[in-house]
Amino acid sequence: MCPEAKYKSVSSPFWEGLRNGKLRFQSCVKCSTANFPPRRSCSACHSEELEWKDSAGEGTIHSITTIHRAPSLKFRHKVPYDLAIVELDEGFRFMVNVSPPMVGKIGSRLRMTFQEKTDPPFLPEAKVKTFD
Amino acid sequence: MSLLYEAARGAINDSGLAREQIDGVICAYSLTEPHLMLSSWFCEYFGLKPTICFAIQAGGATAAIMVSQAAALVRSGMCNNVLLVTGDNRLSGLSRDGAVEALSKVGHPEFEQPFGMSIPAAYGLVATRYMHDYGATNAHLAAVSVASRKHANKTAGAHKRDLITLEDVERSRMISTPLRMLHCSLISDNAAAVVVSAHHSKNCKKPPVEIRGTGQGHSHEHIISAPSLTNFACKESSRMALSEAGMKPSDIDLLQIYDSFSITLLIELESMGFFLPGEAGPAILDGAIDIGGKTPCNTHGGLLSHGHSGAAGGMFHFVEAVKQLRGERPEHQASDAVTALVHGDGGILSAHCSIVLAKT
Repeated sequence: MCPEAKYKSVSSPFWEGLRNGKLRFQSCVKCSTANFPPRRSCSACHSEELEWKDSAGEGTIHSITTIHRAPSLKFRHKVPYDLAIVELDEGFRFMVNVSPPMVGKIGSRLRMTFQEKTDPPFLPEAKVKTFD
Repeated sequence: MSLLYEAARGAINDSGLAREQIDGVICAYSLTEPHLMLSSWFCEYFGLKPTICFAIQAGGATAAIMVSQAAALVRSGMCNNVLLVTGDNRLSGLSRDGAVEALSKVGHPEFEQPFGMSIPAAYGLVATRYMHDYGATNAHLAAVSVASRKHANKTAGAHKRDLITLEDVERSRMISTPLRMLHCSLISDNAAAVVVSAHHSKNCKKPPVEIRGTGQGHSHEHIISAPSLTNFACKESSRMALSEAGMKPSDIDLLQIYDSFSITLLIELESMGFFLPGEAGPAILDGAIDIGGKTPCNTHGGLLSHGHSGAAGGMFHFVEAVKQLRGERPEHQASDAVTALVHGDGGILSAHCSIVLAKT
Protein backbone atom coordinates (compact mmCIF):
# COMPACT_ATOMS: atom_id res chain seq x y z
CA MET A 1 0.00 0.00 0.00
CA CYS A 2 1.35 3.40 -0.89
CA PRO A 3 2.59 5.01 2.34
CA GLU A 4 1.47 8.50 1.42
CA ALA A 5 -2.16 7.44 1.38
CA LYS A 6 -1.94 6.54 5.06
CA TYR A 7 -0.04 9.50 6.39
CA LYS A 8 -1.68 12.60 5.06
CA SER A 9 -0.76 15.24 7.57
CA VAL A 10 2.83 15.80 8.58
CA SER A 11 4.65 14.03 5.73
CA SER A 12 2.52 14.93 2.69
CA PRO A 13 4.84 17.80 1.65
CA PHE A 14 7.65 15.22 1.49
CA TRP A 15 5.72 12.89 -0.82
CA GLU A 16 4.56 15.79 -2.98
CA GLY A 17 8.17 16.87 -3.28
CA LEU A 18 9.16 13.44 -4.58
CA ARG A 19 6.56 13.69 -7.34
CA ASN A 20 8.33 16.88 -8.43
CA GLY A 21 11.80 15.38 -8.22
CA LYS A 22 12.71 17.05 -4.93
CA LEU A 23 13.90 15.63 -1.60
CA ARG A 24 12.28 17.86 1.03
CA PHE A 25 13.07 18.19 4.71
CA GLN A 26 11.95 20.39 7.60
CA SER A 27 14.16 23.21 8.84
CA CYS A 28 13.59 24.73 12.29
CA VAL A 29 12.97 28.46 12.05
CA LYS A 30 14.19 28.97 15.61
CA CYS A 31 17.42 26.92 15.79
CA SER A 32 18.07 25.98 12.11
CA THR A 33 18.28 22.24 12.87
CA ALA A 34 17.41 20.08 9.87
CA ASN A 35 14.70 17.61 10.91
CA PHE A 36 13.95 14.23 9.35
CA PRO A 37 11.69 12.20 9.51
CA PRO A 38 8.88 14.81 9.43
CA ARG A 39 7.51 15.87 12.78
CA ARG A 40 5.26 18.41 14.51
CA SER A 41 8.08 19.99 16.48
CA CYS A 42 11.85 20.40 16.25
CA SER A 43 13.75 17.43 17.69
CA ALA A 44 16.42 19.77 19.07
CA CYS A 45 14.46 22.70 20.58
CA HIS A 46 10.77 21.60 20.45
CA SER A 47 9.72 24.69 18.49
CA GLU A 48 6.66 24.04 16.34
CA GLU A 49 7.89 26.50 13.69
CA LEU A 50 9.22 24.12 11.07
CA GLU A 51 9.44 25.09 7.41
CA TRP A 52 9.84 22.76 4.46
CA LYS A 53 12.94 23.20 2.30
CA ASP A 54 14.27 21.45 -0.79
CA SER A 55 17.51 19.51 -0.37
CA ALA A 56 20.11 19.86 -3.12
CA GLY A 57 20.10 16.05 -3.07
CA GLU A 58 23.83 15.65 -2.47
CA GLY A 59 25.26 13.70 0.44
CA THR A 60 27.73 11.20 1.86
CA ILE A 61 27.26 7.56 2.85
CA HIS A 62 27.23 7.35 6.66
CA SER A 63 26.82 3.59 6.57
CA ILE A 64 25.84 0.97 3.98
CA THR A 65 24.94 -2.71 3.88
CA THR A 66 24.25 -5.14 1.05
CA ILE A 67 21.09 -7.12 1.72
CA HIS A 68 21.27 -10.74 0.64
CA ARG A 69 18.13 -11.94 2.39
CA ALA A 70 15.02 -9.91 1.70
CA PRO A 71 12.61 -9.09 4.57
CA SER A 72 9.61 -10.24 2.53
CA LEU A 73 8.49 -11.66 -0.83
CA LYS A 74 8.13 -8.14 -2.23
CA PHE A 75 11.88 -7.52 -2.17
CA ARG A 76 13.12 -10.99 -3.05
CA HIS A 77 13.71 -10.25 -6.74
CA LYS A 78 15.96 -7.28 -5.87
CA VAL A 79 18.51 -9.29 -3.86
CA PRO A 80 21.37 -8.40 -3.56
CA TYR A 81 20.60 -4.72 -3.06
CA ASP A 82 22.26 -1.92 -1.10
CA LEU A 83 20.67 -0.01 1.76
CA ALA A 84 22.39 3.07 3.13
CA ILE A 85 21.97 5.80 5.69
CA VAL A 86 22.99 8.93 3.85
CA GLU A 87 24.01 12.18 5.51
CA LEU A 88 22.61 14.89 3.25
CA ASP A 89 24.72 18.09 2.99
CA GLU A 90 21.93 20.03 4.71
CA GLY A 91 22.54 18.02 7.91
CA PHE A 92 19.85 15.32 8.05
CA ARG A 93 19.94 11.55 7.59
CA PHE A 94 17.90 9.59 5.09
CA MET A 95 17.61 5.86 4.37
CA VAL A 96 17.75 4.93 0.69
CA ASN A 97 18.79 2.25 -1.79
CA VAL A 98 22.09 2.91 -3.54
CA SER A 99 23.10 2.05 -7.07
CA PRO A 100 25.08 0.53 -8.54
CA PRO A 101 24.96 -2.17 -5.81
CA MET A 102 28.08 -3.21 -3.89
CA VAL A 103 30.05 -0.17 -5.00
CA GLY A 104 29.28 2.47 -2.33
CA LYS A 105 31.37 2.67 0.84
CA ILE A 106 31.34 4.86 3.97
CA GLY A 107 32.36 8.30 2.75
CA SER A 108 31.24 7.84 -0.87
CA ARG A 109 29.52 10.88 -2.32
CA LEU A 110 26.02 10.38 -3.70
CA ARG A 111 23.38 12.22 -5.68
CA MET A 112 19.70 11.50 -5.12
CA THR A 113 17.79 10.65 -8.29
CA PHE A 114 14.06 10.52 -8.85
CA GLN A 115 12.82 8.11 -11.46
CA GLU A 116 9.26 8.25 -12.53
CA LYS A 117 7.79 4.82 -12.11
CA THR A 118 4.33 3.74 -13.09
CA ASP A 119 3.12 3.70 -9.48
CA PRO A 120 3.52 6.16 -6.64
CA PRO A 121 5.33 6.88 -4.41
CA PHE A 122 8.29 7.51 -6.77
CA LEU A 123 10.91 6.47 -4.26
CA PRO A 124 14.25 8.23 -4.67
CA GLU A 125 17.44 6.30 -5.25
CA ALA A 126 21.00 7.40 -4.54
CA LYS A 127 23.60 7.15 -7.30
CA VAL A 128 27.23 6.80 -6.29
CA LYS A 129 29.37 9.67 -7.56
CA THR A 130 32.82 8.66 -6.30
CA PHE A 131 34.31 5.38 -7.39
CA ASP A 132 37.59 4.04 -6.02
CA MET B 1 -0.51 -19.96 26.70
CA SER B 2 0.76 -23.43 27.47
CA LEU B 3 4.38 -22.30 27.21
CA LEU B 4 3.66 -19.36 29.53
CA TYR B 5 1.90 -21.72 31.95
CA GLU B 6 4.91 -24.02 32.23
CA ALA B 7 7.35 -21.18 32.77
CA ALA B 8 5.13 -19.50 35.38
CA ARG B 9 4.51 -22.75 37.25
CA GLY B 10 8.25 -23.42 37.31
CA ALA B 11 9.09 -19.96 38.67
CA ILE B 12 6.44 -20.13 41.39
CA ASN B 13 7.59 -23.62 42.47
CA ASP B 14 11.19 -22.39 42.57
CA SER B 15 10.17 -19.47 44.79
CA GLY B 16 8.48 -21.58 47.46
CA LEU B 17 5.40 -19.36 47.20
CA ALA B 18 1.81 -20.44 46.77
CA ARG B 19 -0.01 -19.11 43.69
CA GLU B 20 -2.28 -17.04 45.96
CA GLN B 21 0.71 -15.07 47.21
CA ILE B 22 1.33 -13.57 43.77
CA ASP B 23 -0.18 -10.07 43.86
CA GLY B 24 1.36 -8.64 40.68
CA VAL B 25 1.62 -10.14 37.19
CA ILE B 26 3.45 -8.61 34.24
CA CYS B 27 3.50 -10.30 30.84
CA ALA B 28 5.26 -9.36 27.61
CA TYR B 29 3.89 -9.68 24.06
CA SER B 30 3.48 -12.37 21.43
CA LEU B 31 4.05 -11.98 17.69
CA THR B 32 2.47 -15.35 16.96
CA GLU B 33 -0.78 -14.67 18.84
CA PRO B 34 -0.89 -10.93 19.48
CA HIS B 35 -3.45 -9.82 22.02
CA LEU B 36 -4.27 -6.44 23.55
CA MET B 37 -4.64 -7.91 27.02
CA LEU B 38 -2.10 -10.72 27.18
CA SER B 39 -1.47 -10.37 30.90
CA SER B 40 -5.16 -10.48 31.78
CA TRP B 41 -5.64 -13.48 29.51
CA PHE B 42 -2.69 -15.27 31.13
CA CYS B 43 -4.04 -14.59 34.65
CA GLU B 44 -7.42 -16.00 33.60
CA TYR B 45 -5.70 -19.13 32.21
CA PHE B 46 -3.46 -19.56 35.25
CA GLY B 47 -6.17 -18.81 37.82
CA LEU B 48 -4.87 -15.57 39.30
CA LYS B 49 -6.68 -12.34 40.26
CA PRO B 50 -3.77 -10.05 41.10
CA THR B 51 -3.82 -6.45 42.34
CA ILE B 52 -1.50 -5.37 39.54
CA CYS B 53 -1.75 -6.82 36.03
CA PHE B 54 -0.48 -5.46 32.72
CA ALA B 55 1.78 -6.26 29.76
CA ILE B 56 4.93 -4.49 28.63
CA GLN B 57 6.05 -4.01 25.03
CA ALA B 58 9.57 -2.72 24.61
CA GLY B 59 11.00 -5.12 22.05
CA GLY B 60 14.11 -6.85 23.28
CA ALA B 61 14.31 -4.60 26.35
CA THR B 62 10.99 -5.97 27.59
CA ALA B 63 12.31 -8.59 30.03
CA ALA B 64 14.75 -6.18 31.68
CA ILE B 65 12.11 -3.44 31.86
CA MET B 66 9.69 -5.97 33.38
CA VAL B 67 12.27 -6.65 36.13
CA SER B 68 12.83 -2.92 36.56
CA GLN B 69 9.06 -2.31 36.90
CA ALA B 70 8.64 -5.25 39.29
CA ALA B 71 11.41 -3.84 41.48
CA ALA B 72 9.65 -0.47 41.53
CA LEU B 73 6.28 -2.08 42.41
CA VAL B 74 7.83 -4.04 45.26
CA ARG B 75 9.88 -1.10 46.58
CA SER B 76 6.83 1.15 46.55
CA GLY B 77 4.92 -1.37 48.63
CA MET B 78 2.25 -1.87 45.96
CA CYS B 79 3.16 -5.55 45.57
CA ASN B 80 4.84 -8.28 47.61
CA ASN B 81 5.41 -10.86 44.91
CA VAL B 82 5.44 -10.01 41.20
CA LEU B 83 5.34 -12.81 38.61
CA LEU B 84 7.01 -11.94 35.29
CA VAL B 85 6.12 -14.22 32.36
CA THR B 86 7.46 -14.25 28.81
CA GLY B 87 7.21 -16.70 25.93
CA ASP B 88 6.23 -17.28 22.32
CA ASN B 89 6.25 -20.03 19.72
CA ARG B 90 7.84 -17.94 17.00
CA LEU B 91 9.46 -20.83 15.19
CA SER B 92 6.57 -23.28 14.98
CA GLY B 93 3.92 -20.54 14.96
CA LEU B 94 5.42 -18.18 12.40
CA SER B 95 8.30 -19.97 10.64
CA ARG B 96 11.68 -18.29 10.09
CA ASP B 97 10.46 -16.31 7.05
CA GLY B 98 7.26 -15.36 8.86
CA ALA B 99 9.18 -14.10 11.88
CA VAL B 100 11.67 -12.14 9.74
CA GLU B 101 8.81 -10.48 7.85
CA ALA B 102 6.82 -9.70 11.02
CA LEU B 103 9.90 -8.20 12.65
CA SER B 104 10.71 -6.06 9.61
CA LYS B 105 7.45 -4.18 10.27
CA VAL B 106 9.34 -2.48 13.09
CA GLY B 107 10.99 -0.35 10.41
CA HIS B 108 9.44 3.07 9.72
CA PRO B 109 6.50 2.45 7.34
CA GLU B 110 7.23 5.53 5.20
CA PHE B 111 10.98 6.01 5.43
CA GLU B 112 12.53 2.58 6.04
CA GLN B 113 10.22 -0.28 5.01
CA PRO B 114 9.72 0.92 1.38
CA PHE B 115 13.49 0.60 0.82
CA GLY B 116 13.46 -3.06 1.82
CA MET B 117 14.95 -2.68 5.29
CA SER B 118 15.10 -5.75 7.52
CA ILE B 119 16.26 -5.87 11.12
CA PRO B 120 19.51 -7.67 10.17
CA ALA B 121 20.07 -4.90 7.60
CA ALA B 122 19.65 -2.22 10.28
CA TYR B 123 22.21 -4.03 12.43
CA GLY B 124 24.38 -4.48 9.33
CA LEU B 125 24.43 -0.68 9.03
CA VAL B 126 25.51 -0.43 12.68
CA ALA B 127 28.17 -3.12 12.25
CA THR B 128 29.59 -1.54 9.08
CA ARG B 129 29.99 1.83 10.81
CA TYR B 130 31.43 0.28 14.00
CA MET B 131 34.01 -1.74 12.05
CA HIS B 132 34.94 1.39 10.10
CA ASP B 133 35.37 3.53 13.24
CA TYR B 134 37.07 0.99 15.53
CA GLY B 135 38.89 -1.37 13.17
CA ALA B 136 36.91 -4.41 14.30
CA THR B 137 37.22 -7.40 11.95
CA ASN B 138 34.95 -10.22 10.80
CA ALA B 139 36.93 -12.51 13.09
CA HIS B 140 35.94 -10.37 16.10
CA LEU B 141 32.27 -10.68 15.17
CA ALA B 142 32.66 -14.41 14.60
CA ALA B 143 34.39 -14.85 17.98
CA VAL B 144 31.15 -13.77 19.71
CA SER B 145 29.17 -16.49 17.93
CA VAL B 146 31.79 -19.16 18.62
CA ALA B 147 31.85 -18.22 22.33
CA SER B 148 28.07 -18.43 22.59
CA ARG B 149 28.05 -21.97 21.16
CA LYS B 150 30.68 -23.07 23.66
CA HIS B 151 28.29 -21.96 26.41
CA ALA B 152 25.19 -23.53 24.80
CA ASN B 153 27.11 -26.77 24.32
CA LYS B 154 27.23 -27.07 28.13
CA THR B 155 23.61 -26.05 28.66
CA ALA B 156 20.77 -28.57 28.64
CA GLY B 157 17.77 -27.27 26.70
CA ALA B 158 19.71 -24.82 24.52
CA HIS B 159 18.37 -24.60 20.97
CA LYS B 160 21.69 -24.97 19.14
CA ARG B 161 24.40 -26.83 21.02
CA ASP B 162 26.79 -27.99 18.29
CA LEU B 163 30.18 -26.29 18.49
CA ILE B 164 31.17 -24.02 15.61
CA THR B 165 34.48 -22.56 14.44
CA LEU B 166 35.41 -19.09 13.18
CA GLU B 167 35.51 -20.63 9.70
CA ASP B 168 31.98 -22.03 10.10
CA VAL B 169 30.73 -18.55 10.95
CA GLU B 170 32.50 -16.93 8.01
CA ARG B 171 31.17 -19.58 5.64
CA SER B 172 27.57 -19.25 6.81
CA ARG B 173 25.00 -17.62 4.54
CA MET B 174 25.34 -13.84 4.17
CA ILE B 175 22.20 -12.07 5.41
CA SER B 176 23.15 -8.38 5.23
CA THR B 177 26.78 -7.35 5.13
CA PRO B 178 28.73 -7.94 7.29
CA LEU B 179 26.24 -10.11 9.19
CA ARG B 180 25.98 -13.77 8.29
CA MET B 181 23.45 -16.32 9.50
CA LEU B 182 25.65 -17.36 12.44
CA HIS B 183 25.94 -13.70 13.56
CA CYS B 184 22.18 -13.51 14.00
CA SER B 185 20.05 -14.61 16.95
CA LEU B 186 17.96 -17.74 16.57
CA ILE B 187 14.22 -17.96 16.07
CA SER B 188 12.83 -20.39 18.66
CA ASP B 189 9.87 -21.53 20.72
CA ASN B 190 10.45 -21.01 24.44
CA ALA B 191 9.25 -19.31 27.63
CA ALA B 192 10.82 -18.04 30.84
CA ALA B 193 9.48 -16.60 34.07
CA VAL B 194 10.81 -15.08 37.29
CA VAL B 195 9.30 -13.90 40.57
CA VAL B 196 10.43 -10.62 42.13
CA SER B 197 9.58 -10.35 45.82
CA ALA B 198 9.88 -7.96 48.72
CA HIS B 199 11.22 -10.71 50.97
CA HIS B 200 12.78 -14.10 50.50
CA SER B 201 10.09 -16.68 51.24
CA LYS B 202 10.67 -19.01 54.25
CA ASN B 203 9.59 -21.86 51.98
CA CYS B 204 12.13 -21.09 49.29
CA LYS B 205 14.82 -23.75 49.26
CA LYS B 206 17.15 -21.62 47.12
CA PRO B 207 19.58 -18.87 48.19
CA PRO B 208 18.31 -15.31 47.66
CA VAL B 209 19.49 -13.09 44.80
CA GLU B 210 18.94 -9.34 45.22
CA ILE B 211 18.26 -6.59 42.74
CA ARG B 212 20.83 -3.95 43.74
CA GLY B 213 20.39 -1.45 40.93
CA THR B 214 18.26 -0.65 37.89
CA GLY B 215 18.74 1.83 35.07
CA GLN B 216 17.28 2.71 31.69
CA GLY B 217 18.22 4.84 28.68
CA HIS B 218 16.18 5.72 25.58
CA SER B 219 17.34 7.77 22.59
CA HIS B 220 15.29 6.87 19.52
CA GLU B 221 13.22 4.17 17.87
CA HIS B 222 14.12 4.02 14.17
CA ILE B 223 17.73 3.70 13.06
CA ILE B 224 17.36 6.77 10.84
CA SER B 225 16.77 8.78 14.01
CA ALA B 226 19.60 7.26 16.05
CA PRO B 227 21.93 10.02 17.30
CA SER B 228 24.88 7.74 16.54
CA LEU B 229 25.44 4.36 14.91
CA THR B 230 28.11 3.40 17.43
CA ASN B 231 27.14 5.03 20.74
CA PHE B 232 23.91 3.99 22.45
CA ALA B 233 21.90 4.52 25.64
CA CYS B 234 23.28 1.36 27.25
CA LYS B 235 25.95 3.74 28.49
CA GLU B 236 23.38 5.67 30.54
CA SER B 237 21.37 2.64 31.66
CA SER B 238 24.39 0.75 32.99
CA ARG B 239 25.84 3.82 34.65
CA MET B 240 22.53 4.37 36.48
CA ALA B 241 22.21 0.73 37.58
CA LEU B 242 25.83 0.47 38.75
CA SER B 243 25.61 3.79 40.56
CA GLU B 244 22.51 2.67 42.49
CA ALA B 245 24.32 -0.57 43.38
CA GLY B 246 27.40 1.38 44.49
CA MET B 247 29.55 -0.54 41.99
CA LYS B 248 31.89 0.00 39.03
CA PRO B 249 32.11 -2.24 35.93
CA SER B 250 35.15 -3.95 37.52
CA ASP B 251 32.95 -5.09 40.46
CA ILE B 252 30.78 -7.22 38.15
CA ASP B 253 31.73 -10.91 38.02
CA LEU B 254 29.22 -12.13 35.44
CA LEU B 255 27.52 -10.54 32.42
CA GLN B 256 24.31 -11.46 30.65
CA ILE B 257 23.99 -9.05 27.75
CA TYR B 258 21.41 -8.93 25.00
CA ASP B 259 23.00 -10.57 21.95
CA SER B 260 20.47 -10.07 19.14
CA PHE B 261 23.47 -10.06 16.80
CA SER B 262 27.18 -10.56 17.47
CA ILE B 263 27.70 -6.82 16.83
CA THR B 264 25.20 -5.94 19.59
CA LEU B 265 27.34 -7.68 22.17
CA LEU B 266 30.61 -6.06 21.01
CA ILE B 267 29.13 -2.56 21.07
CA GLU B 268 27.35 -2.95 24.40
CA LEU B 269 30.34 -4.48 26.22
CA GLU B 270 32.44 -1.46 25.25
CA SER B 271 29.76 1.15 25.74
CA MET B 272 29.08 -0.06 29.28
CA GLY B 273 32.76 0.12 30.16
CA PHE B 274 33.66 -3.58 30.38
CA PHE B 275 36.20 -3.18 27.59
CA LEU B 276 37.89 -0.16 26.01
CA PRO B 277 36.58 0.90 22.56
CA GLY B 278 37.77 -1.54 19.88
CA GLU B 279 39.10 -4.03 22.46
CA ALA B 280 36.11 -6.31 23.06
CA GLY B 281 36.65 -8.26 19.81
CA PRO B 282 40.31 -9.19 20.41
CA ALA B 283 39.54 -10.00 24.08
CA ILE B 284 36.69 -12.34 23.10
CA LEU B 285 38.96 -14.08 20.57
CA ASP B 286 41.25 -14.62 23.54
CA GLY B 287 38.53 -16.20 25.73
CA ALA B 288 37.49 -13.20 27.84
CA ILE B 289 33.78 -14.14 27.93
CA ASP B 290 34.28 -17.90 28.37
CA ILE B 291 33.92 -19.68 31.71
CA GLY B 292 37.30 -19.02 33.29
CA GLY B 293 37.70 -15.79 31.31
CA LYS B 294 37.90 -12.27 32.70
CA THR B 295 34.12 -11.64 32.40
CA PRO B 296 32.03 -14.73 31.56
CA CYS B 297 29.10 -13.58 29.43
CA ASN B 298 25.90 -15.28 28.29
CA THR B 299 26.89 -18.52 29.93
CA HIS B 300 23.75 -20.31 28.63
CA GLY B 301 24.48 -19.40 25.01
CA GLY B 302 22.38 -16.25 24.80
CA LEU B 303 20.08 -15.37 21.93
CA LEU B 304 22.70 -16.54 19.46
CA SER B 305 22.70 -20.14 20.66
CA HIS B 306 20.35 -20.77 23.61
CA GLY B 307 17.30 -19.43 21.80
CA HIS B 308 15.19 -16.39 21.00
CA SER B 309 11.41 -16.30 20.87
CA GLY B 310 11.05 -12.60 21.65
CA ALA B 311 10.83 -11.20 25.17
CA ALA B 312 11.68 -14.62 26.63
CA GLY B 313 15.10 -14.41 24.97
CA GLY B 314 15.89 -11.52 27.29
CA MET B 315 14.31 -13.24 30.31
CA PHE B 316 16.62 -16.24 29.85
CA HIS B 317 19.54 -13.91 30.57
CA PHE B 318 17.98 -13.27 34.02
CA VAL B 319 17.25 -16.95 34.65
CA GLU B 320 20.87 -17.84 33.81
CA ALA B 321 22.26 -15.01 35.97
CA VAL B 322 20.23 -16.25 38.95
CA LYS B 323 21.26 -19.88 38.37
CA GLN B 324 24.93 -18.89 38.17
CA LEU B 325 24.77 -16.73 41.31
CA ARG B 326 23.06 -19.56 43.18
CA GLY B 327 25.72 -22.07 42.10
CA GLU B 328 23.16 -24.16 40.16
CA ARG B 329 25.31 -24.68 37.05
CA PRO B 330 28.00 -27.04 38.43
CA GLU B 331 28.68 -28.41 34.94
CA HIS B 332 29.38 -24.89 33.65
CA GLN B 333 29.91 -22.62 36.65
CA ALA B 334 31.38 -19.15 36.68
CA SER B 335 33.20 -19.78 39.94
CA ASP B 336 32.91 -17.26 42.78
CA ALA B 337 30.41 -15.13 40.87
CA VAL B 338 28.75 -12.87 43.43
CA THR B 339 27.54 -10.01 41.21
CA ALA B 340 25.94 -9.93 37.77
CA LEU B 341 24.83 -7.28 35.32
CA VAL B 342 21.94 -8.20 33.03
CA HIS B 343 21.16 -5.98 30.08
CA GLY B 344 18.35 -5.86 27.56
CA ASP B 345 17.85 -3.64 24.54
CA GLY B 346 14.99 -3.27 22.13
CA GLY B 347 14.26 -1.78 18.73
CA ILE B 348 17.44 -1.01 16.85
CA LEU B 349 19.60 -0.42 19.95
CA SER B 350 16.84 2.03 20.85
CA ALA B 351 15.61 1.16 24.35
CA HIS B 352 18.02 -0.01 27.04
CA CYS B 353 17.64 -1.38 30.57
CA SER B 354 20.37 -2.65 32.91
CA ILE B 355 19.90 -4.54 36.18
CA VAL B 356 22.58 -5.30 38.78
CA LEU B 357 22.03 -8.52 40.73
CA ALA B 358 23.99 -9.85 43.70
CA LYS B 359 24.08 -12.96 45.83
CA THR B 360 23.30 -12.02 49.41
